[in-house]
Amino acid sequence: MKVGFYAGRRILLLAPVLLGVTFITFALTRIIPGDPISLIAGPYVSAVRKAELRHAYLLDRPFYDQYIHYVWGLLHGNLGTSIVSGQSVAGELSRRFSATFELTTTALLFSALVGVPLGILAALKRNSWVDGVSRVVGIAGISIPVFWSGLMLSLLLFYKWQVASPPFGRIDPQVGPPHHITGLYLVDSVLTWNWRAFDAAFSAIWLPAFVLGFSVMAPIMRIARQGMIEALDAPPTTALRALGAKPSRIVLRHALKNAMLPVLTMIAIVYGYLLGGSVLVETIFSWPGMGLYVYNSIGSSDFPAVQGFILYATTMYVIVFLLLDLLYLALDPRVKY
Amino acid sequence: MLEASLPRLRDERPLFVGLRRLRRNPVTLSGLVIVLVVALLAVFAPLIAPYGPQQGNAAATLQSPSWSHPFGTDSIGFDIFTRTIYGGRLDLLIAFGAVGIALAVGCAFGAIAGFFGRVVDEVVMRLMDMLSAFPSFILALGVVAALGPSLPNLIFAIALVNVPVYARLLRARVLTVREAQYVRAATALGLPRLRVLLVHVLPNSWAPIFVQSTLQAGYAILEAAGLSFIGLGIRVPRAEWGVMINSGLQYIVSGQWWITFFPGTAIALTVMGFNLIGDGLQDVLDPRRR
Repeated sequence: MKVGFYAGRRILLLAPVLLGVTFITFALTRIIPGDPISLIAGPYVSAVRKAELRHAYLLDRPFYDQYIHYVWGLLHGNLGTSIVSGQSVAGELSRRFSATFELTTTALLFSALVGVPLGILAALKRNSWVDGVSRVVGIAGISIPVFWSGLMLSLLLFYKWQVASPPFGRIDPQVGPPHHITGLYLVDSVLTWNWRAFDAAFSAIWLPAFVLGFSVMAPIMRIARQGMIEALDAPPTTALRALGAKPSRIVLRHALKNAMLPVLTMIAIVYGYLLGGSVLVETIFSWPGMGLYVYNSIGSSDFPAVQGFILYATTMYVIVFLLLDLLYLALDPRVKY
Repeated sequence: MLEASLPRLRDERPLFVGLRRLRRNPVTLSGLVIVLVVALLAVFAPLIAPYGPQQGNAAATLQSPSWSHPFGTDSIGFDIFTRTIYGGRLDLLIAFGAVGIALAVGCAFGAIAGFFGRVVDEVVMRLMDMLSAFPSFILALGVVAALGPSLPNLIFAIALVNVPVYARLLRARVLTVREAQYVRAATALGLPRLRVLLVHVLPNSWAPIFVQSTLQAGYAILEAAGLSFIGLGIRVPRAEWGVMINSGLQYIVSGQWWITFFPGTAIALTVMGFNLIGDGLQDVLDPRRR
């Protein structure tokens, strides 16, 4: 019951944070230098039309009034209208959501599936060469800019050696996407037993996902290592050892569980970096997600689109963070509230 | 008298203690060397670089690395080697500027929150929560997109996203240090709170702040280069690593790899330098990590 209470409180606390987030995204439109109307309508508009637009965009009302209207619109799923396409930004982003979600999630899975075992190995063989190598790999990962490693890898693997598929999009257009169920090509192609599509989707995603995932592997690895070391040095482990339990059993059955909890929190933190990095990686690989959309919007000075993206991505991040926090709560018997 | 007759084994002045410790910490040392080399190259760029940073040569465009152009030239005929060295000026300026501002503002917020507690603490920290609810690169992107791409705006945006890190760090320090004997003693002596904060609490927090700053500086360079790469930061023809990579983007296909390769290597090396410093120092400060 207490757990339920905490979870409920945690979800309720989301409201003020999100409200603050909307305030900041709203304030961003107010710090744009110059007249917002000329930005929307272009320079060649009559004064009468400008006044009309000013009224239509509520720019003749006080600041707080505009903000209330903004939040009211958001509550109805209105993220504004793109200046370039005239389409609703919310619609444009939703259409691209699954591409970004598939890319960031695959990247996350990669970094966790490689980072966690490496971290554990480093903890078991503390100060050995394994420890040293994983540390160097981790530092390289957080130091190399994703947009550069993406470029260099596609130069080598596609243009030079032809072993990767071209860095253009989610799937070979000759194969075509699988039947739409979740919007995630890998999942949909498995669900529909469309192996040709799976193969094409996988060969398109592995390189960008690797590039993105590699950039966040270090913190996951680091926290797994530290968690494992602490679990191994903890009194219960010593007791188990004294009782004659096999070392492999101690690691896999007992220490691992405790070591994994902080990893969960780190994964939540790292997800924000993945979303940020996706803007760069999608640009490099022409990945048709929200990141590429925002890149194009920046190029065409489509500020409502940029603003919508910021809010959309941040909400996504906050929700992923919350879900992982609740998962932590469900998994850790020690947490009491 | 006795003191004078004792042989002096070690110089215990702080500088020497620091240097001795550094020698036993090859990770930090290698990071320091990298950052120092990059900084020196940037500072003395006019003496080292064979050309000017914006000196194009229409007769020598898209040339592969050679003796006259060690890193090749780009489509305008700019010398990549020259621009890579000059690029360090802007990127280091952004890193130090943004981290410095974030440090000053963030520490002030954190100290105020931690020291005054209650409502002040609540208000300041909720504000920080809001800022850190954003993925940092995305918030910085939004700020620069709104303010317009320029060097000061870029520094401001990156500083802004780093403020919560320092606020949290210093608040936590203040809360733990506040209970320490020497701070309680200082407070009991009736010293003003601000004085206790500045003279007793802050000097005892510089180590974690410094470590944090090296890591933040590395990330600041990645953010600055990333933003410039997507057109939200430094603009062509100024020499900045992210912009340089962008200007080589379309030439990857036709095989002119050097335009992007060298500035990218410069970013990776410099950021790695900062990360190595921070990583090594963390080992020293945090005994759990050994």
